[in-house]
Amino acid sequence: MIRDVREISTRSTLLPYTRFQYVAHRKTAMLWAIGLTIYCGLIVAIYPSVSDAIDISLIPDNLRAAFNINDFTQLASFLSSELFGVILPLILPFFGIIILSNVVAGAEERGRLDVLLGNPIPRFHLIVGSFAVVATYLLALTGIVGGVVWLMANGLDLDLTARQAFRAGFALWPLTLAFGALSLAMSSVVRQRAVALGVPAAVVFLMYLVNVIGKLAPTVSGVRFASAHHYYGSAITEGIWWIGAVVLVGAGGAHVIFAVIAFNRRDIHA
Amino acid sequence: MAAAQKHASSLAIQTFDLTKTYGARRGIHNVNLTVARGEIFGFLGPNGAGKSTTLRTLLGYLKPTSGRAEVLGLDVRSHSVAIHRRLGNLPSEFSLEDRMTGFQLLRFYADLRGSGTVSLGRARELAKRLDANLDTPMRRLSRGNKQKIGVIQALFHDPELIILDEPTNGLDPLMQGEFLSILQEARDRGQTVFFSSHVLSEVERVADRVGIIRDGELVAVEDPNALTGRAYRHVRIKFEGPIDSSSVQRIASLPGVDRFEHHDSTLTFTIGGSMNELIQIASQHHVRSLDAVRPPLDELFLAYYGDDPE
Repeated sequence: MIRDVREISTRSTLLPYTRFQYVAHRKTAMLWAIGLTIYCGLIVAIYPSVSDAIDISLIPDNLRAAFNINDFTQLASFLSSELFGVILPLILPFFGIIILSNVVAGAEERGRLDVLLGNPIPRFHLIVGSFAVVATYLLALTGIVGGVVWLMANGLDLDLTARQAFRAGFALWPLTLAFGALSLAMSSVVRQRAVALGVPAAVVFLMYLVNVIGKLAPTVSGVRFASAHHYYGSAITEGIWWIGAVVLVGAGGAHVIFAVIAFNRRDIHA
Repeated sequence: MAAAQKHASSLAIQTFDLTKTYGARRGIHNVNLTVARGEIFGFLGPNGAGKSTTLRTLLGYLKPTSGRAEVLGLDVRSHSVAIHRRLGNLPSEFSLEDRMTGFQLLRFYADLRGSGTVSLGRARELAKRLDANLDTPMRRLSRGNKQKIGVIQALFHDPELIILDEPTNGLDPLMQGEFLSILQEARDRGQTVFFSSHVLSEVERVADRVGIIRDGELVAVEDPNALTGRAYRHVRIKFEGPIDSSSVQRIASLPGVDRFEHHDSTLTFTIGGSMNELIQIASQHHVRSLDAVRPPLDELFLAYYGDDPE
């Protein structure tokens, strides 16, 4: 009898909770979508004015290698070193980090967890449901990035295929998801949202730095394997590196599993 | 064996040497508590005594350091979700989604419970009785109005067991009365109510039994009438002018009078039990003012149970 009740509960709460989270973060996702549309559109729009203005032969070789600067006469190469090489890999992970740091640590800090868990909802539904929502919104945002870049390039009659634009966008998805999952894992362990937010944020920049240093100094190039940004690759010029994507998705999945275990074991304080 | 099972099934809550400590800080120690089905059990104690820790352990929010607890016959750790399906809970400190209205939130909780439109009808009914606004976003509601939403979410699905932590916090006196009436009606329908408070008067009004916790230990489980029978008041009587010494002596020697002091036309003392004789003596003089105040719970506990709970 008890088992029946638990099974019914497990089936019936994940969907309502996930739906609730979709609605709760809809406005945030829309604001991100608007911001990304404007920014990505602007970057493509300014390309014609900078393509001839920068002489990349003046930039040292290892610095060019570090930032994927190959050929500014090609839009794809320009975007690879600028939009998809620096800005989006550093900024877009914050969509997931901000939302997922709130799931446990943030909700506990604000006193929201007590009422929610007063309902017959298994704790892992909070983890899985929230992660699914962020994963879906991130997929949409990365799709929007690819779409905006392609539409702008087409509108300005620049040389960029839809395939290049969308694979560049979607390559961001595993990277941003992995950092979001890290934030979720932190949120399940610590009690302060600032920590669950701050540590993954610092890790984003630290890993980016490690990847750049690995490219700049061949003697320590092995450190790049410790950076998520290494597995992200350069999809717009080289195509999606599927092994790298699998590593990132696997790391994200491992963090989600860790979050489920940690949340189940932890005390929830007032 | 059959008798033992029958006993177990008649209990809504049972704890076995339940202990929860937070490092060096005190929590609760070896709490053995039983709450029968269909009773209102008041859990009384001063702030920091361990009321919330006990409740949070029963709700599965805190893992016991040792001992265990059963709610509705199920272990609180291993059957937390099944238990929550059958209970309603109001935490002492909580916040709700700022952007949502009370009704939107209740609809979400009803979805989680699968309790549907029947419970939402009950929510509207409770909202009417408590004068709660279900159609305004939470961020625009006062502390008291948010507390009403909290109360409704704990009750709207008519759970078997209602666990409430300081439920009258933020409610005005009129709403406190209505809320206590709702609890009595729930009890009359066979629901069990377990609620914590540090206000003696609200516990004595509705509780069938009272558990008293101090410094993390359950020091007594009493009939509320016995508790209030032993209660004393701080009395201060100011007369229009000095009164004769025989009247002063008569008041000082009344049963239950203690800590007696006399300054000019003012008498201060504590009195336990009936105040009938006191009023009769005082009424023979011109009384300017008479204050009779219940002491704070901390002081009461010290007087009743001393430093040593044993």
